[in-house]
Amino acid sequence: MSIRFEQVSKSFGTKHVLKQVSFKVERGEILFILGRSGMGKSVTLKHIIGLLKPDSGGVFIDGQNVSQLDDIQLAKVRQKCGMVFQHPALLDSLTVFENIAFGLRTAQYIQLIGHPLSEDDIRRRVCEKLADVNLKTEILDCLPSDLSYGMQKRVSLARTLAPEPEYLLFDEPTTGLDPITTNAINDLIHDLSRKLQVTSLVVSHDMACALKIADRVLVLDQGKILAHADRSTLKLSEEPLIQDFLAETLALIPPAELDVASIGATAP
Amino acid sequence: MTEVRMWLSIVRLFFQTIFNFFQPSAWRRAEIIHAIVQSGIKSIPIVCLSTAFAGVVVTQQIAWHMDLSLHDVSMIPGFTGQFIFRELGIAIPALLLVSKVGASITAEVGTMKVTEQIDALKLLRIDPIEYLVFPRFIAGIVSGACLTLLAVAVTLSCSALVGILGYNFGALEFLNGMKHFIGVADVVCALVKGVTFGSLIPIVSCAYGFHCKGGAQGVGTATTQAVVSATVAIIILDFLITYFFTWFL
Repeated sequence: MSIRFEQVSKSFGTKHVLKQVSFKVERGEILFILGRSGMGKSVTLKHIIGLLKPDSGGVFIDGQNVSQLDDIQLAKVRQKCGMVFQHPALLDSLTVFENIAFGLRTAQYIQLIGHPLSEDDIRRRVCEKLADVNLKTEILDCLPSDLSYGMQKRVSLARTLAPEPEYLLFDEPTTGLDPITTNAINDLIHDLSRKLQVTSLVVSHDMACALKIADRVLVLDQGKILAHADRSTLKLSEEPLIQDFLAETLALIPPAELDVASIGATAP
Repeated sequence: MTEVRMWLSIVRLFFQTIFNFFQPSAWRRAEIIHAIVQSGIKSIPIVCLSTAFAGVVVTQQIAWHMDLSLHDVSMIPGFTGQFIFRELGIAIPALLLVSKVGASITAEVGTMKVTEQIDALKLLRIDPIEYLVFPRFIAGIVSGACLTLLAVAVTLSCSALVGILGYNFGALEFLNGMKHFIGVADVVCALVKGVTFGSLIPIVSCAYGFHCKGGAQGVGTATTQAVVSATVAIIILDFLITYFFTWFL
């Protein structure tokens, strides 16, 4: 039960986005991928679910090379994954309820659990996931265009969580959200990992969040891995980029909170 | 080169869409009806208005030229009837559908592409071709055929009105004059063109939407390219189908 990158390279035209990137994420782990914009963080996530194929190297989920799977096998792998995109990516023509329930009604999901969920079970699951992301059930009949960007992002997260995937991929999940919701979502990622052994890969610019909940942090720069370490080791890094990220974080968070030993998932 | 690659992906999308005919899950009635309403029923007013005026103008022009050169207007029903059945009553609704429906499809699918909705669909194990293209493709075929017949009927009616009111034809006389020039092949030709153009528009529009890159500017560029490509494709196909029906049937 792991995600493994082996010597993955990817270019778009003349731009080399990933250069022989290798790393592994074990079951139940939370890996934060940090880096400046345009350094291949989102591209890394999209390789995992086969939305992009590497020019060379391989991406493995549970030992299966994603880039060599046919459509049916890829659909099975995607069944295990949920992804929160950079954009909310909600289907405009569907209500909030229909968006969240969408993944619960697909033939593949029904096949996976062995029977279709009743409408009552779907509604219960939708309400439960909506509560997890701090939203009220009053918005269930709203269209995405009726919601603020932050609310759309949380609905998108609820949609991803609804089929209860084994792997969660987050592409900047807290960008554009208020601090309270940001903390709630960080708590959620932490709880899913600890209680349900869900593996999470989080692309972010937010070193503070990484230092709160990540098991390990991977820093990408110029298509290469600049650092891949646990939180305490990362703090000792002398790489200028990491120092810059840390300096930003230190300016925002009291030193006591950054003491790794005292860090919990819940913000005080 | 880019255009060639684009047309190859349009052809591939066409066959992928055709494949969905055999997938029971693709026949989602609500989505298909919604697409027919959007592309067909909501286009009825503009198609009727445009073809009505086109019928009046063309009949006036043909009559004027016949009167001027032959001093005989008795052939108006036959000439206008054939022109309307073979070209006017078909090309006008098709080009209107490109600008109205095709542009809207590219903009919608393109926006879905740049806002990662297409990726989200794939991750939810939904085939975007089955979900987005197929209902619009079926709606395009139905709307294309129905709007063509409607447009031909409206154009012929307006043409007949000009003949009756302006050139003293009797209603039956005008109809009989037409019948000498119009055969079953013309009706079949009109339907074949309507169905072909109706199915082409969503495929070209969706293909450009799927290849959309960037933000709002990318959506705008894709929409323009889709409208231009579909218009050119319709004109070329119009020639080929007319040629086929003229020489082989």
